[in-house]
Amino acid sequence: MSKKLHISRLKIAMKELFQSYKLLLYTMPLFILFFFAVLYFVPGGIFYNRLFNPAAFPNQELWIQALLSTRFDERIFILLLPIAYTMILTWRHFEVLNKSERINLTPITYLERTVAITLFCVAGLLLGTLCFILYDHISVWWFKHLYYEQVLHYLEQQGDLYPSIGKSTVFFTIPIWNIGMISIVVLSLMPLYFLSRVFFKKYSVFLFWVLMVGIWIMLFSALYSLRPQVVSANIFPIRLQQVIPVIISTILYIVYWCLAMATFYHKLKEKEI
Amino acid sequence: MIAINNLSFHYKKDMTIFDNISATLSPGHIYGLLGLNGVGKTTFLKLICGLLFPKTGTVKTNGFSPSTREVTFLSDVYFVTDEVDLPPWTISNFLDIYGSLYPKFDRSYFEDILIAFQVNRREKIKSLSYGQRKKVNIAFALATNTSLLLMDEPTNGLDIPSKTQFRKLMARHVSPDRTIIISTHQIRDIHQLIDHLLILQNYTLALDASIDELDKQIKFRQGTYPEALYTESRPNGDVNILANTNGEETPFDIELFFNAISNHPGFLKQLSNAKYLQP
Repeated sequence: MSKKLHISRLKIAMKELFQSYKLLLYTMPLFILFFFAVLYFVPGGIFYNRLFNPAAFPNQELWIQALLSTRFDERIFILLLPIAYTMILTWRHFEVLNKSERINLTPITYLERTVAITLFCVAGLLLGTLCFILYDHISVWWFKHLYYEQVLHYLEQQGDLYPSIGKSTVFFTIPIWNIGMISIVVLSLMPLYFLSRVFFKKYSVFLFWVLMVGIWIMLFSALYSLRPQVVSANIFPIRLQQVIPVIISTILYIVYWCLAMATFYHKLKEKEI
Repeated sequence: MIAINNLSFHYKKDMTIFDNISATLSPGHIYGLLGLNGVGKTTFLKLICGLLFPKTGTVKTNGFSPSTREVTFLSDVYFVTDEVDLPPWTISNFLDIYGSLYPKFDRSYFEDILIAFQVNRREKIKSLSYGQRKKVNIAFALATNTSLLLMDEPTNGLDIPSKTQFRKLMARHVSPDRTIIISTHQIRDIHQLIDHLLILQNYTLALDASIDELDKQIKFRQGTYPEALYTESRPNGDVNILANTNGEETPFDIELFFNAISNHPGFLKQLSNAKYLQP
C-alpha cells in the first residue's frame, strides 16, 4: 500500500466522519419519509382532500377518477433531498478541513481524506436513493392494495377492457432508468460542491450554484451548436447519443469527474491554515 | 532538529511578519517562544509544523519539509493550539480513533495524565469546560510521545493545581530526543521549565539563546543600582538587570528580561557579549 493511501488510515478517516455525523445520517431515512408524506398529503392534493375534506369526493367514482388523472411522478424530485442532506452532512467537515489546525496535522493523507469524504457522500446519496426506492415501492404496493381492484373494475364498467393506466399515477413506481439518470447528474455535481467548499471562503453555496448553472449552460450551448443541421427538419427529438456517442460521453464524464476530484485534492493539499 | 534558513513570511505583501530568520533548534530542550501580541508567535509555530508555507527560505523539521505534510512527519509532531478544537465525542472515542495514528502513543500514560488533571475519561468532550478540554488535549499531546511538541499558550484556562501538574508533567516529558516549543504570555506559569529563549521582535528572531548562556552575561538584583542595564519598579522595590561581571548565579527572571527587550530596543546591543544574537 502506498504512503498516500493506507487502508487503516482510510478507515480512521471514515470513522472520523461517521462518528461526527452519524446522527444526521441516521435521520436521513426519516427525513425522506417525511417528504414522501408531505408530497402525498400536501393541502389541496387528492389524499389530503380524501382525508380532511370528504366533500371533495362525494362518491367513489370521483375518487377513482381523481386517482387515475392525478400525476404523482413529481415525487422523483424527492431524490434531490439526499443531495441537500449530504451537503448539510459534510458542511461542517469542509469547514474543519479549511480551518482546523488539529485536523490538518492529523497523520492522515489528503488522498485518504479525499477518498473518505467521497465515499461518505456516495454512501449518503446511495442511502437516500435506496430509501427513496423502498418508500416508492411500498407506497405503490399500498395504493395498489387499496385501490387497484376498484380502478380496474371502474375501467371495465367504462368499457375499457384493456385498461392502460398512466405511468405517472400512484400505481407505478418511478422507473429505475430515471433514478439512474438523476444519480449520474447528482454524482456529477459532487466534485463541484467539493471544489466550491475549498475554493470559496464565503458564499460557497451561492457560488457553487453559479458555477453549476454556468457549466450546464455552457454544456447545453456546446451541444446545441454541435447539433447536425439536417436534424432541424427531423420530427423526432434529438437525443444526446445523436450528438455524442455514448462511449465518448461516458469517457468525458469520467475524465471530468477525475479532473475535478484531482483539483479538489490538490487544492486541499496546498491549503494553508 | 529544526533548521530554519533565511525564512521570510507575510500574509499580505505589505505586512511582513518575518524577514530573513535563521535558527537551529536542537532536541533535548524546552524552548520558550516569546514576543508581543501580533509579532507572529503562532505563525512561527505554524511554519515549523507545515500549516503555513514560507514565502522565501526553508524550514526543515526532523529532516522533513513540513509543508509537504507527509504522514511520517505528521505522526511525529503534535501542536497544542490555544483554541481547543477537539470533536464533541466521548474522550474514549477520541482516543480510539486518533490514538492509533501515532506509533508511539501510550494509552496508559494518557489515562494517568487525565487522572492527574482530574478529568473523567467517560465524559463527552463537548460537555467539558474550556480548561478541561485543554487538559484532554495536553494529555493527548504528551501521550503521543512525538519528538516535536508545539504548544501555544498551553496554560491558558488551566486552574492553579493543573498548572502545577502541567509543570511536573512537562519536566518529566523532556528527553534528549524531544524538542518542545512553548509559546506563551503566561511566563510565570512555565519559567522554571524553559531552558532556551526565542524572542520575536521587529520581524526577526531578536534572541535565540539558552538561559545558561544568558545567566553568564546578566544577573538580577533588587535595590538601587545606577549601573543597571535595565530597572523596573515593582511594589516591593526596584528590580534590576546588571552585567554579570563576576560570574554570579541568580535566578533568571524571564519576565523582567523580556520587558527589558520590549521596552528598550537597544537593550540587547548593550549586552557585552552578544555572539548568539541575530545579526
